[in-house]
Order: sequence, then structure tokens, then C-alpha cells
Amino acid sequence: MAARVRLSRTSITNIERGQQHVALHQLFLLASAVGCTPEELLPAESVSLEDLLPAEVLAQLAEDQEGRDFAVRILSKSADVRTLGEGTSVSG
Amino acid sequence: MRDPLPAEQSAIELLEDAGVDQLPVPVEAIATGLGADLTYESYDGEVSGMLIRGDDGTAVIGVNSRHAPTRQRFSVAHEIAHLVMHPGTPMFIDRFVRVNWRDGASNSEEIEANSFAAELLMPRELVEQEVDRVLAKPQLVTPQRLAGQLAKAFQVSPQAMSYRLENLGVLDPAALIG
Repeated sequence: MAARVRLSRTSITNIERGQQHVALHQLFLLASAVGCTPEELLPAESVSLEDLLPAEVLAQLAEDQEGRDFAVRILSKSADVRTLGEGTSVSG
Repeated sequence: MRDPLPAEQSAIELLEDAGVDQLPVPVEAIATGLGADLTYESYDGEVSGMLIRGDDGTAVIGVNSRHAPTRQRFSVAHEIAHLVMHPGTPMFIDRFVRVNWRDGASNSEEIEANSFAAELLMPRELVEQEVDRVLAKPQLVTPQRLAGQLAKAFQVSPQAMSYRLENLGVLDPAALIG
């Protein structure tokens, strides 16, 4: 796997853990290596909390990483997400 | 019999409005009936539930579906309480790390939400009916077995039902120890 995408084993582990960013060409190499499309490796539409939530709520979440993670995942799934704020974007 | 607390009274009114007369109480349908968008997500963490309000009266209730089904029902009921009773707060994140119904809550809004959730999931009137029904059968019923049977009917944890029975004065606290 590491050889096929020209990355170290450690790098792959870090990518899996979300601790290392992936360059665009690496996304295609990774997809090819595991036999899927690049789209399938990308997370479902994510939301930007900054766009959705008022400042006081963001301040509350700034000190609560777990709560923040959960909020992003719930709001990404929620059908009503657009009614909470102005659109969605692609950063968590 | 003590009078209902304000939080319990709110839950009683909601149950009446929703026309609930069967068990288990359909907390999910009640949440969506209030206009909340109920969203489940499996999350490896202590967060049990959350409520996020929009500016325009919309609300999202998030529930951690990795937790036990009885805890998920409690989470839904607890977030409904925040939705109905605490309109001034835009977001709640609830963990219930100490799911001890006696002292698990740390502030007045959480205490209110727990009282509301207990009444919503285990309405006093329906609990008393079920207790009478179980006790009418010709069988020996220990306090633990009574709490266990009611917990199944109401789809709550046996611990939650034990505490509810104690709180309603149905059971002597001393009877449940051990």
C-alpha cells in the first residue's frame, strides 16, 4: 500500500487518523490503491460551524472538542442544516 | 401525593397535547411533532445528546446512537425539555456521565430537564396504572422485579424506573437497596 502511493507507512497511518493532509494527486493514488473512486474517500458534505452558529455558541464549543465534533457530525446530517444559517461549506 | 413540579407539569401538558395514552411513550414522534429535526449519529464519545436552535424557531436534536436504546430515549426526552422549557439558550450539549438520577445534574436547567424527561418517559399516571396492573396478578413481586417489568413496558433503564418509583412514593427507597 505504502509503496503504491509513494508514502511512508507512518504517513498513511497519520492520514487515516486525520493527522496529516493529503495532496490531490495522493487522493487519486490512494483511491486507485484500494480500488474505489476519489469521491468515495471524501467525507460526506461537512458543515462550517462558523457559518451556522452564533458567536456565543462557538465560544462554548471552543472549549469542548468532543461537543464540537459531535455538533459538526449532527449538523452535517441534519436535513434542516440550511435553515440554521447561510448555506454550508466544506470545512469542519 | 406531592404536586407536580413545574417541569413535570410541562411534560404532562405536552403528553396531553400529543394525545399519548400508550406505552412506550413515543418520544421520537413527540420531538418531530414539535418541529425538531431529530438526527442520530453514532459517535464514540460521552456526548449523549444535543439541542441546537436556529434563529427562526427551527431546532436540531442530535442523539448519539452508539449509546443504549434506553439512554437514547432519555436523551431525546431531555432535549425536548430544553426545547420546550429553555427558549433563551441556543445550544445544549448533554453527557449524563453520571447517569445517577439523584445528583447527575449540575445546574437548575439540567435538573429541570431531568424532571421533565422522567415525567415524559414515565408519566406518573401511567406508572401508577402499570403498578396496579402488575400487583393485581397473583404472583410474588419483589421491588426489583416490579421495577424491571415496568422498565420494559416504558423502555427505560431499570435504574431509571427504580428511582422513578421511589420518587413517586410507590417504593420505599430502603426496599431497593441491594
